[in-house]
Amino acid sequence: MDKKISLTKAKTHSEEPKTKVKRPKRNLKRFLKLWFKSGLFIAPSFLGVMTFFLVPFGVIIFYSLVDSPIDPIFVGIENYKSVATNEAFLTAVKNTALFSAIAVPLAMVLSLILAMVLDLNIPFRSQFRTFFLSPMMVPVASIVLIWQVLFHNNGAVNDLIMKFGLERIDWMKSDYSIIVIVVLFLWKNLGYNMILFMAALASIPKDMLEVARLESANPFQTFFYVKIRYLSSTILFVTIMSLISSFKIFREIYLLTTDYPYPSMYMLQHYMNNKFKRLDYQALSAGAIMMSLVMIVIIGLLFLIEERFGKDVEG
Amino acid sequence: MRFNKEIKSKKWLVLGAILILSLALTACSNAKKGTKADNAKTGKSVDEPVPEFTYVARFIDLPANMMSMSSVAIGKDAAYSIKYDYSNNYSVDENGDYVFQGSDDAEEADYGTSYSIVKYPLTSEGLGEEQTIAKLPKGYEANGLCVDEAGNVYYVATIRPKQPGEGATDDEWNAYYEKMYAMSDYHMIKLDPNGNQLYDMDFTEIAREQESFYGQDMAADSKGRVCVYSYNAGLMLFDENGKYIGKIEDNPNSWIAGLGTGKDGNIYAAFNDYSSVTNECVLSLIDFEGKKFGKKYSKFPTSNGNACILPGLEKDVLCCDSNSVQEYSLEKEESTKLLNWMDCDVDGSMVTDIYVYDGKIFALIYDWNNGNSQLAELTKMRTEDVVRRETITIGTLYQDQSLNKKALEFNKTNEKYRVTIKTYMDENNWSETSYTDAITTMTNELIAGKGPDIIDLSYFDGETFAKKGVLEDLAPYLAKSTVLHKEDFLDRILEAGTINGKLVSLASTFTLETMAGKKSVVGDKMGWTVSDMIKLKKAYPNSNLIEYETKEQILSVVVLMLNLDHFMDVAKGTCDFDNDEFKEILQFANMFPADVDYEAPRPLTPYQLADNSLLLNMTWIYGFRDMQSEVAYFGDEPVTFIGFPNYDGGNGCMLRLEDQYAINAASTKKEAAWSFLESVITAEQDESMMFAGFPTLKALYEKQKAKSLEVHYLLDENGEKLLDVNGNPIIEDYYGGGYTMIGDNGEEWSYNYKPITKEEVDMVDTLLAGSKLPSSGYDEEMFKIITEEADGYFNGAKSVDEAAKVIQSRLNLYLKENK
Repeated sequence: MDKKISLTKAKTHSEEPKTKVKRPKRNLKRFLKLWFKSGLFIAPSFLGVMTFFLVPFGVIIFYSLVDSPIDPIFVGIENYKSVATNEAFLTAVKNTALFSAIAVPLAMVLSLILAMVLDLNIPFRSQFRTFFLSPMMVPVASIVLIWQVLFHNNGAVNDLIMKFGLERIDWMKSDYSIIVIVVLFLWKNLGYNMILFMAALASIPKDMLEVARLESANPFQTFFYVKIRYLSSTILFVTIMSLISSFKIFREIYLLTTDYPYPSMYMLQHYMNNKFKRLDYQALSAGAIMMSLVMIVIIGLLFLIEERFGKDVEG
Repeated sequence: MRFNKEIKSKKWLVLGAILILSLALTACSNAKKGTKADNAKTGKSVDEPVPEFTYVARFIDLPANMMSMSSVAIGKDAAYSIKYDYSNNYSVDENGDYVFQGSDDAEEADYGTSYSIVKYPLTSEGLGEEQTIAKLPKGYEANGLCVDEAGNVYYVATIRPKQPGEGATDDEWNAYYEKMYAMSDYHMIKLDPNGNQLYDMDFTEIAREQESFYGQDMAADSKGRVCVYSYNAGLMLFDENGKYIGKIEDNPNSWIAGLGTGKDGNIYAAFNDYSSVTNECVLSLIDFEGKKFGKKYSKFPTSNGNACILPGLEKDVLCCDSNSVQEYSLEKEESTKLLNWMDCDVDGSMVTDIYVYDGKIFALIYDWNNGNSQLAELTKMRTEDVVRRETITIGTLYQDQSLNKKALEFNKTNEKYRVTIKTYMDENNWSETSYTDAITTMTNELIAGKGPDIIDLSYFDGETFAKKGVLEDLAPYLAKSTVLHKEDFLDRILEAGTINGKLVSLASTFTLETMAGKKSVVGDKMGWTVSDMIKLKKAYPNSNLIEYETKEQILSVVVLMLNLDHFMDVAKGTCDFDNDEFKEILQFANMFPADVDYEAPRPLTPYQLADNSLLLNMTWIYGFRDMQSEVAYFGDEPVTFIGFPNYDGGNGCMLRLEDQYAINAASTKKEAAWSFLESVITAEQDESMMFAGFPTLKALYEKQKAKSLEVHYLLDENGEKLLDVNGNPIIEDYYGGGYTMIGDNGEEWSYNYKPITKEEVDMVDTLLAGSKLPSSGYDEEMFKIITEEADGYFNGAKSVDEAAKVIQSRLNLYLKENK
């Protein structure tokens, strides 16, 4: 029946006289008037975006290319060279990259595991969910206080490890400090990522899972070949959010240790914050632009991976 | 059709709304813009609002000691004061001390001081002739004075007990002073405008209950009721008959900055309300009926100093503080500035009182450095009628008397320019963040290319500003100046003002800081090392090295301030704190206590030095005479100025630059700013000002040195030298005699200045020649890191090796970041 209709349609179409359809001439005046009116409507938003995003960004680029904010002289990429060769900046880059490389994958994996566990029908499921979400509600200053007490030289953690016969560790003033901030980061952010994954898990089509089960796929195969595919966009989102959050760890470190922490905790934002305090806007701007370029590259790569990996399930 | 019409009308409605919103975004300032002509005359840019009226001052010198400037009350038609009259019962001994010669009535033994209440009629030219309206009986002291709107005068008379008299022992005098307040009688006395006594009310019993009652301030309302403020007693209330009716019980726990009468005839008190979140200054009505503070009015302007309060001209209260004269509205709880003292060329910190007469504001000015008094007559005039010079602004944090004086002097003598001072700290609304807010405000202004023309670098980070190009290079100005030259300055002065090869600031004065000890204890060599200091401390384990010694004090001030450069190279961005020398410093600092109880009683410094319970005295030398008093602390013992320990072998004396000024690179009046710098640096120091410092110019330094060696004698009316009881000429002590210290245990130590000797002056030269500037890397942040980590070692949390290692890591990072 369908075939018949389609043939009929085709025949009808083929019988139609081939006449040229004349397009009306473009009215330039009307076109401009339309654009003007539209422009007026979007002007407030555009002005806002320009004022709060584009213009400041332009100012930062300008500052990064001159030697002084008072009497600016164009110096080209000298500021970039100076920042890129500064040992403190390089230390900050190394620490930030290391922290992100450890904390972000851990955050992603642990929150996914938590989401999958809480997806099962276990007792006290909603209480556990609340438990993992509650760190998000605690103010940062309070968290910092708790961490200071826990990881103080005479704090609870040292008391515990000394019970096992180990020597106390100066957590904040040694290379072990990265453990402190990774734990702090995970504790603060796992809940949020977990909720995102739980929502994503709930949105996986049940029939696909049933098909996999019927096809005798084991749980690992189901997870890696079916669930991961459907979770790919969420994984991308969680990774990006965790990456951004990993840069924000500066706030907690700053409250724990102020402007110049032990070198292993010295992050990019420390460098930029200190430069700001010293009115060195040139180094600050150059550093910020380099950092944002790196971020753009990383996020671009993530998007590419996601597109490749999750293509088939997104149609 | 109808639908399309609706859409069209809504479109126009929305477009109209957008237009209105856009217009609202444009800056519509309420500031009154002056005319171009006005602004050209005043030298201001077109956009700056020019005040419509301004006050012009005329100064009238008052005779010396015309009135006691601490006790002046202004009535409607006359000013009243307490006058002190030292009788002729004195002679002067060979030391220049006043000696009681005795009187006919040996039982009185009152040292001959008598008190009287004097009156000066107000005239349009100032103050009329002095008239004595009341002479207090012998033995009566007057303190606290006020006048009501009818011209009646009120004061507190204190009748002291008989003094021990000539020949009394120190113990007898000590016993007398201990009981003096408890044995005195107190009277509230009221006089009519002609001095006739209207009442004399005895409130002795009440006053003796208070600890050391003294009438600091008092005011009378329109009903004749009086409020007296005594710091220990609080606010005491008296009715219209002079009878004591009680006191205000809710103590504000703060100093009463001002007590006066408003336009409504009620009495108001100004104080900082520490019960409020912001500790703001408030004006509170005195409620006689309830014996409490009445309504409190917020945002009352007074910069933590003494505030005059009097009936307002147009608003309720006229008040003044060291910055300005303002009118305050009780209803709106806001003040309007009438004038800035600086704009009128008046030093606000020396204004003791103001009054209004014949449409003019008069200010009583007392220079307590030299005892001179003046009356400033301030006449309100239209700005356009006043020829104004080009104005340059000096930015500073606080009101500073020394800077005020320099600015006023410049304004009086310079015909082309005048300076105004902009203080960034709002002293009327102090909070915990006031200091950082002030620094941030000025920093932001400077970075934005605005800010004051001249920057007082006493409170600001000159190095950071210099590195950002905020400060003008002064070398070209110095090179072409006809008044100042490079070689005119003492050594190291220009070096201290040079950052990254640019001369960015000039200092007008400097001081010296060192340490002194007995020769028998520290030896006779000037200068020592940290190891020497450690040996000394170990040799006297039970003695204090310096007064108020703490770990932090020893670490940061005594040892590191001069020696930080030994451990680091700021230019290269390297440091080495993880070594034995630095660890030795940490271990040495650890020998001292963490805190000091400043309230704990302790003997006076000279007595501690005498018995070696104190080994060294921190010595600050602001003038040539300071050398004398610092040596005097050690009595007859020979003294060595051993200085701060250092690694360079120098004499350990620190050279500190004061009053450093820089020019804003973005200023459009740099030539004017430079002329101010020239005037400040070439001005002679006012030695009557305490802590004046030494001038940084060689010629002025030598001049001050020569002047300090001059000896002046007291002369009679014929110009002949006055002789003492032994027939020796009496030396005039232009430093005011000397000073006395009274210890916690009641012990005394006093010193009278003698003519300065060549040896003392040479010693200052020696200290100056061998002095050093504080370490170039001396930085608050750096010290914060060192003391933070050192604390861990001091409280036993880590070993000295661990502390040194962490300090090394953190400071290494700091230096690399700022390389």
